[in-house]
Amino acid sequence: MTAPTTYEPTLDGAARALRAGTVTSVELTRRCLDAAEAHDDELGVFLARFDDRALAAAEAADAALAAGDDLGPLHGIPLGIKDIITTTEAPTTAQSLILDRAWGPAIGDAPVAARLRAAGAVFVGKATTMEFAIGRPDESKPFPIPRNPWNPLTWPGGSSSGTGAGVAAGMFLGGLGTDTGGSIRIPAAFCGISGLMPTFGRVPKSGCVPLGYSLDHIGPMARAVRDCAHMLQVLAGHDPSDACCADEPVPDYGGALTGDLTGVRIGVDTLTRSIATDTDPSVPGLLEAAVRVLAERGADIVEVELPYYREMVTADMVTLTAEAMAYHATDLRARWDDYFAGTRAIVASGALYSAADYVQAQRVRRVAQKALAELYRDVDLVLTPTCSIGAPALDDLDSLIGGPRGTAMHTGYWDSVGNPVLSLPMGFTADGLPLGMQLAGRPFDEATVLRAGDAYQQDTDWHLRTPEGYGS
Amino acid sequence: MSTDPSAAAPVLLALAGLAPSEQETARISEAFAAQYQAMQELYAVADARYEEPALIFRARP
Repeated sequence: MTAPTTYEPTLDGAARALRAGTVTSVELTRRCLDAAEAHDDELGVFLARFDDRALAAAEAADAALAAGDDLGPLHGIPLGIKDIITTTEAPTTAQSLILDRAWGPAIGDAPVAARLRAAGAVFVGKATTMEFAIGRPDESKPFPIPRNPWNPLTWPGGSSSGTGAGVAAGMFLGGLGTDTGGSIRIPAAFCGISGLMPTFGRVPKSGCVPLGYSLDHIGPMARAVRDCAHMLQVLAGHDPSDACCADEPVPDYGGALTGDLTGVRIGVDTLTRSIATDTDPSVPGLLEAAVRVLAERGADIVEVELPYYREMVTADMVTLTAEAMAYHATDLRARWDDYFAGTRAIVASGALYSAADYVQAQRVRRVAQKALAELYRDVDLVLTPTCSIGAPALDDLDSLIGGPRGTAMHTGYWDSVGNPVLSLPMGFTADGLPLGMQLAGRPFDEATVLRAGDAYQQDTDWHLRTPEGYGS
Repeated sequence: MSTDPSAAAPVLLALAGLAPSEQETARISEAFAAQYQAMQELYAVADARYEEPALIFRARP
């Protein structure tokens, strides 16, 4: 049995312990690999593990730190990478039989992977996803079924399933997810961790298998908001390899974490006016409690209503499926049966929209962006639930993905408008499943989003709770 | 001629060269009925009348 840690079980806590000399990168990495050895068969977190290379990288990190060569908070930290992002260690599979195994090696490290590696991070493996970041698990295909460590009969969320479950189960201290309709924030909420979808264009997405070209975001997932800030500091910034990547200045995210929300105005939308959906009975009270914490930290609270909510959910689905259909059409025609059933059904619906439908969706996205910018003249952040329910049972996903309970996931709106959104834990259902809330900011104002999330976590410990039998 | 979107879906899938099973076609078609209605709501957004789409095109590749 692994001994309890002597440091806070977060990326930031581990980084501080490394510098205090109370733990080494090799010990951190071995601890993660031990957790993977013990639980990965059950939880389905990894598609590939890099044990030997990870330990070698950890040894090098320890040596560099001992020599005074400190690359920053990620130096020597074990991370997991969603397997739609290329790294040099192994072919990228997108958890699919379809993807050409030569594609990833021809790229090498994606810009985000290269940035993390240059910051001293240790890659312990490639994490599971839904095939091509869409659909649902498929037992007929030769890939692991990701399970939620809070209850392995439930889904960890997707599509960054393995990254979410792996952080929650202590198999790595942080990781990369991607978000096109909620794929960072849904698993963050269901697994009881923090996850940040940065502004569209804040982080380069080249070297990532595309799902929706105008919707895809790469972002950090970890226990604490502070961890996400450390990761974003390294990930953010222009790269010419991605035509969508913005040449915007990158502020000091760690320096923004003051704990003080004086002067920050937060608009709360419970979304009950915008959409009819299942709501777990715990959600309203937990949201109210979260708002109280933020107010006690100095924030001004007002009620708001997000403009064009339903339209942006529709625009996300139309845009995502149309763009995905363009990418997959040739393979879908030739190899329909090799795709996961859930993937091919959703992507094929992109063939049902007209070109005019697609363009109209892009026109309404502009309308909604402008209306939202008006709302942000009055508030600095918007708070909503991430999902109105806890993790669903794996045998009940039909009702959630493409089914009537899909409206319980409140994430697609933000992909359509492109603002930065953080999901962070706010409590549990009566069944002990995590629930999350979202804090969304103005475009490229991740600093305020992170500041508010971190202030909340200075007064709460939801993000430090670990599922029994897993984690630290 | 039928204007039922769920009736049009099998034809559109076939035109796209896709070959789902009968069961899959039925499911996709049924779902499309609701998706089609939601899509029509985007044409009803009055403020989009003179709006430019959120598309990127640059003269230099």
